[in-house]
Amino acid sequence: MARIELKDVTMVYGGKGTAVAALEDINLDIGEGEFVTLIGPSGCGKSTIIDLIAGLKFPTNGSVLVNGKIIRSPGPDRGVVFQDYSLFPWMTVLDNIRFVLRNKNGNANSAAKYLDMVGLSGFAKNYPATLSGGMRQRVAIARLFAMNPVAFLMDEPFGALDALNRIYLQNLLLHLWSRERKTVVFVTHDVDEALLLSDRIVVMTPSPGRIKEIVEVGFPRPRCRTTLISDSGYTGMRANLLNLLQEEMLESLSRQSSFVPEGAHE
Amino acid sequence: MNRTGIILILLTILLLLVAYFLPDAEKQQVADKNPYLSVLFVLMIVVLLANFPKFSGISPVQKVNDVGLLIFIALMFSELVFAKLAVLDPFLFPSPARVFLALFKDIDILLDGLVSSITLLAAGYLLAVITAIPLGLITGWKKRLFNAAYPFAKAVSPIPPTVYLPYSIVLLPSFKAASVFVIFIGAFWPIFVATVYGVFNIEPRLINSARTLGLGNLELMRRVVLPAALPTIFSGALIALILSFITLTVAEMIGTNSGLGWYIEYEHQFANYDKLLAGMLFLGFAVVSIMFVFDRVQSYCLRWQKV
Ligand SMILES: Nc1ncnc2c1ncn2[C@@H]1O[C@H](COP(=O)(O)OP(=O)(O)OP(=O)(O)O)[C@@H](O)[C@H]1O
Ligand SMILES: [Mg+2]
Repeated sequence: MARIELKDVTMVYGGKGTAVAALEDINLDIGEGEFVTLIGPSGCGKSTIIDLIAGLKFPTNGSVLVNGKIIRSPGPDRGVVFQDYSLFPWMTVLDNIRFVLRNKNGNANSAAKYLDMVGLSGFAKNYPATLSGGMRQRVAIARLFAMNPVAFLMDEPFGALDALNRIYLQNLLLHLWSRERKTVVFVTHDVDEALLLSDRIVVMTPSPGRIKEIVEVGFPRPRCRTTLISDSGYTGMRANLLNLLQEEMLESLSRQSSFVPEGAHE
Repeated sequence: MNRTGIILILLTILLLLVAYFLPDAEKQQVADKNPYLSVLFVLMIVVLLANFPKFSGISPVQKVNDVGLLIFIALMFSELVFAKLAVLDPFLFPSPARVFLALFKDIDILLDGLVSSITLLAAGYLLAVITAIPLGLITGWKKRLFNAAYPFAKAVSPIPPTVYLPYSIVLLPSFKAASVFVIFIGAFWPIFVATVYGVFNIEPRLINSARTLGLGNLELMRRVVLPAALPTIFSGALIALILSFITLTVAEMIGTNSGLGWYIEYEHQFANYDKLLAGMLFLGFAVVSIMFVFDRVQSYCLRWQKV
């Protein structure tokens, strides 16, 4: 388990002239075993935060720390799941999991155990190209647990899935995570997904990317989708989040409308 | 059995009858037809087996029939034009029967030539594979090296490899070594350029995802960059292989005294056109077999790709 801190983080992409301020003055303290979700309109820097914690990118200013140590590179202590491209297409499903166990004298048996965990034992010898998108993400989750990192970083892991697969995977993640609570940083566009999974929801705003508001989600765990929806606090919290997001959306729309080409008003 | 199969079987039988019973044109020197007829007979058996799966246990493949049809149309054409009608000068254009007779008579020389040719080819080509792929991987990976080396590679790669032959002969101890070197140079560039291009076009999200697993540089190259670039590498390796055949044959024609290219050139000098054609036929057969092996290796290595 890990504590993750972002201190006065600023992130600027590109050089002079083309500079894009992706993040500005981000301060975020994520506690051990906490499930934190980043939500906000496109381009507000959610993926950038994931990449910074993963060690794929480094902040222009400020610091990102895991358990008090500055991040200098990617490492197996932080497991990442992206929307796609998480698995190696040239390895079978089982080999993909075995690969992350390679330094832990993990054998085929323990790899198979993780595959069983996500209900895909029958597909051990399949190549990822022969699986559906939902199955691929299940394997990615199995691999994440096989890696056994101190923190999970998940960038819209269910973003490309249909509603049913999404529900299945949310339940699966929640179930597996409840057995051993890792620190999770999760990105989504889906308010219901955020409410179901998170301890805290960080609402962000773009240009430059900042934290607009942090919402505490206090529903007791273990959570169940149906009882949650009937919870009296749920509807209010959901409306509040949607409101915040809508404000953002309207703002970014009004920003974009200034680019409407001449003649388009006729 | 399908329609193509029926047509093919009828065609094979017809060709056998035509070749056996119809007399050759008078200008045509009479030759021992047995080798050719035996080959036709064997081919006919193969066609029949492929089309009667109940007897042979071989499942008929549409592709076998389609390819067979093309081959037999070509054989029938050459039988009629070159043997029966002798439309063209039979000295320059001998009948199929005479070509196959030459093939049978010289089979020992041809097999020796094949061994010699394949040795040169394998040495040059494999040398190119084991040097071009690692160098290409590094060049594609390091942006600065790429910027420096890629324009150079692009400029040098279209130069026909045989251009290097004169200097290779002077600098290397034997003509065989020179041939290997020239095949190597010819095969090197297509593989190198394809590897660089392959690395350059790897999906960046795949690389990022791999890096989050905490791989070392060497492991990243071997386990991620190489396999991800492999489909592109194979397309370069195929071009390199085809180019190697050409380089090899030309090099053998110029200066060795063994190999299939040499055989063809040698018989040419003595105006033995039947042997020349037999050599070409044999070379073609060798090329097809090597390409078949290449195809198999490729589909095994890329078995993970979507079909
Ligand atoms: N490699 C890069 N080079 C230049 N600019 C970039 C790069 N990556 C991201 N950006 C910019 O930084 C900003 C934040 O991008 P980021 O991908 O973090 O947004 P996001 O919140 O994840 O968006 P989405 O919801 O669409 O995934 C955007 O304006 C984007 O254009
Ligand atoms: Mg993103």
